[in-house]
Amino acid sequence: MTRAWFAGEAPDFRRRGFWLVLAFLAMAVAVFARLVDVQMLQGKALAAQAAAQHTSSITLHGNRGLILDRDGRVLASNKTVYDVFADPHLIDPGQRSAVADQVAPILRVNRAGVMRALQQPNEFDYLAKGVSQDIEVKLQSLNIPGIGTIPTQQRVYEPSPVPGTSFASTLLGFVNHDGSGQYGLEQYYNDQLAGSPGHSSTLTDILGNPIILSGQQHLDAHDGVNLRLGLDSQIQYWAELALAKGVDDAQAASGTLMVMDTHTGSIRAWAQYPSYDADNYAAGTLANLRDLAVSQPYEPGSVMKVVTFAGGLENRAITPSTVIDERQSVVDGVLIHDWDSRSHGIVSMQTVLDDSLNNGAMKVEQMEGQSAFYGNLLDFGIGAPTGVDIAGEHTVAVPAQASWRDINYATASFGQGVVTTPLEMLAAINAVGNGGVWVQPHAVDAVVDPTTGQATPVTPHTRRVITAATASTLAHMMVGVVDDRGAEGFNAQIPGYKGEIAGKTGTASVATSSGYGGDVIASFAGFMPVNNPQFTMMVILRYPQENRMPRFGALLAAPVWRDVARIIIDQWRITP
Amino acid sequence: MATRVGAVDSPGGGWRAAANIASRALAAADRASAAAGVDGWLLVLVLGLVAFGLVMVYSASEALGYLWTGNPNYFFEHQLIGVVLGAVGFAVAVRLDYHRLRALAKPAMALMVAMLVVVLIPHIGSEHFGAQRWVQLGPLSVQPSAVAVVVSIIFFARWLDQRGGAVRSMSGVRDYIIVMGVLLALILAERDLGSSIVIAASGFVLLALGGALKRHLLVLIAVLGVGGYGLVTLVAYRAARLAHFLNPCADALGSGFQNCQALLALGSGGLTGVGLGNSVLKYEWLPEAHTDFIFAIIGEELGLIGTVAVVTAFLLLAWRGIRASMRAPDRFGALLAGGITAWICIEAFVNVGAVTGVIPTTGIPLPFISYGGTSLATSLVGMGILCNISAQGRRHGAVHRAGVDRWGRDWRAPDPGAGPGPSPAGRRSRR
Repeated sequence: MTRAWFAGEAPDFRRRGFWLVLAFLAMAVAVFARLVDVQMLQGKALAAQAAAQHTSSITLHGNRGLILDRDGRVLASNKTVYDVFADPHLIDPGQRSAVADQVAPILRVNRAGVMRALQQPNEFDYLAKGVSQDIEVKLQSLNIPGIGTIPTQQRVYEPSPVPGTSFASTLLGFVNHDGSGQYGLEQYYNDQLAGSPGHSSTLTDILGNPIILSGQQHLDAHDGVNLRLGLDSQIQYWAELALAKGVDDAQAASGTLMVMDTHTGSIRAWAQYPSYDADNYAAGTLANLRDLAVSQPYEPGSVMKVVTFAGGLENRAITPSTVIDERQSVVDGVLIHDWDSRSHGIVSMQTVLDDSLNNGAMKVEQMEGQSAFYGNLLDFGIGAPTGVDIAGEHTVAVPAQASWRDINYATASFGQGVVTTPLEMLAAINAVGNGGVWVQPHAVDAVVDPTTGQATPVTPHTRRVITAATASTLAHMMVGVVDDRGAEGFNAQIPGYKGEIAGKTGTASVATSSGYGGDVIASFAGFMPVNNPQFTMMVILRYPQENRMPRFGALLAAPVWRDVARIIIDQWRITP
Repeated sequence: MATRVGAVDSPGGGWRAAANIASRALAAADRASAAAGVDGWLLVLVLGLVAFGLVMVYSASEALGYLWTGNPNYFFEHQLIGVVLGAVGFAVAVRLDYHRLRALAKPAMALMVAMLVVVLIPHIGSEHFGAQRWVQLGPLSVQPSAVAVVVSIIFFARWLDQRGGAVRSMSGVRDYIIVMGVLLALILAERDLGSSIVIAASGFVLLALGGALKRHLLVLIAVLGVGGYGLVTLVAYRAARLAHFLNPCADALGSGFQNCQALLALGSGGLTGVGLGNSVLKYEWLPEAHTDFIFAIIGEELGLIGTVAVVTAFLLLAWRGIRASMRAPDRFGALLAGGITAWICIEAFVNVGAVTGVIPTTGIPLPFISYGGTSLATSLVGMGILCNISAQGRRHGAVHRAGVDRWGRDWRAPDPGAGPGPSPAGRRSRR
């Protein structure tokens, strides 16, 4: 029986068995081919896709470094704030109205806006950004599913006495929502302040929980450095107030006030008005965010005569007692005016400086010679960046000497037709106070390691531009500008400090497309005490509407200079 | 063997150890086939697959066990119960003369049908992942459809053996199909497409081995193909699975999620794998990582070498199974052996094919390896029966069956386990 049925009933049993083996072989071959395809040919791509899904990598942010004043007072710091978001998918549609009722008052936002966000088909909608910790705590205590918070670091600045602005705003700059510094020191030192981010990556299960036994890759974040400024907060405080008052009194468009340590170049005060609130920078206008002191070149006007006189004295073309016949003259067909539009006859060089006589300054340039004059301009850093550590320095180079005509030399001698930034001009005047050595202005005195506390001092560039003797002679001539009878700088006089204050006024006509119009930029730059200056200060008022006349424009800036100088004298106990 | 595999630490050493184990296993197979009546190849393949399965179940389920029950060994321990029950079942089946299954076929089928009906009654059968498949028997949850496969193979092998030549007639095939259809309908009512496919395919193989006419078989293939396709597209979730089985990652977050994760696991493994125990996808990324999709974890941890080894093991099992069928002492034995071999190998293909994206996913375990006691135990019982048939075939010394090719040439070497048989000259005559 066992043999018979093969032949009789299923003669092709073996053949069918053979086919069955073939069928299984075919299945195996199909699987083998697919396995080679998936595991070898597509293996790398699939492995990468798998790694992307189950490798969780988070960026660790270091704390942004602090900015401190010269006494260690914190000017810019960080606080944790919270972005509040909703995941509408996790909120029952019937509950959304109730959730909006609960959340809106806590966040102090419009209920309709919350409702709108809750009805989005997204899985992530911001309800509020940058809310404080106590609001976050209140929100968490409600324990509403689908409402979450993300902690973020926010930069915090100090208030300014001037409403609507923050303390030293243009000097410090601000940090935008992406954590990147904008303007001022925050931008210039952004990389150092930000530190280096670390990261941590680990394998996770589907819920994002790390797999404990898996290898982790970890790189620590490093906190950013702290910056210790030369800024004197006391001086800065009063400087901001005084400048704002000066700008308002003069009905000027804007004002700039800079104070630097004459010998070290360290910036002690740095004010701009109008300015902005760095804690709420988005509300500020773009024009107010710009630091005009470094980024807005202007024709400095008569303040430049200090540089002209320095060249003349250094090249022995003049002495303070040199006498000239001062008269309004024509250069290249252009009549050079004095401020009172008259000639002054036989005057000494001291009088030329005291009364800010343009034709006199032009005489100095002519006596000195064009090449020496041009070289002296460059020596004083006119048209060159100071290299100050404040973002956005923008200068206009002095045109090549070959292109200069007589009229260019003539006007440059009294600060017209050549442009500088306010800071360039301050640094040039400061060189006179510093015994003839130009010193680079700088805001940061030292970079401080946050962990070790080790401070790396900043050393500014210096270069001698005139001899100490020339500088001393010129400084004492500048004292005359303040003290001499009838001289322009009398507004800078401070009782008890006669003979100590060296300064120079400037009233620059502002060029328009059709020549010089009625607008002026009034300025006063000076240093004191003259024999060992402690500070150099410059005040600039742009487009004052009060006292628009050329002579009196200069009268506007000097009182601001004087008011702040008094504060500095008090604070630093400068004795006559 | 399990401890040996578990103890290897470096992949290179692992493969050397595996090769060592394999060569020893082959030697053991030779010895076993020479000494005992049991086919050593089959024995080693089954033991190897079960041991390997235990290791893989432990590796794939450790995290899940901890997350779901707090016990990382939870699934491993439960699988051990299945191994013990299966081993007992295997030992009994090896010793039990398979002819006695004839008498069991009808009552077992009746009980089976009853259980399948019972499972459908609410509160008795429990629903799990959209499929109503389990029935609770004390502490054990039993999956009747998994038992149904082995019962139906015994039943239909007996049916075909008893009816003999009737299968060559239209009416014989028709009756067979009607009975089979009723059974399939019951299992489909449990939404267990995987078991239905395995039963239908094994039933078809039995019918073919039983001698049904070629034209009937071809018509049946066409009908099954169209019917299967219709069935698949009728059920929405299967249609979605079907649409994406070739490129599951196109809908990686939807219906293609599981299959896409399986491909990611296989791809992550590359040639040599990330190392035993080092799978990441088993951390809840790949659903059913320890059951239906354990092959993907094998691919991730042991690479192409591991997956090819597993598929090769099933291919060898197919060869030994069909060889046993060819050499069975009688028609019932031949059909039973063929049916069991078809069942295990088709189940393996349906599983592996789904994991690798060769065919759509139907939800069926990988025999011997996937977590699941019922499937493991019934598979082992099936293997026990197969070994018994193979052993009886050898003892019977039935030389004419598989060794002689269709042209009557005998290409076999003398079978050392065959005992005294006809002289070589006698073997040449076919009748």
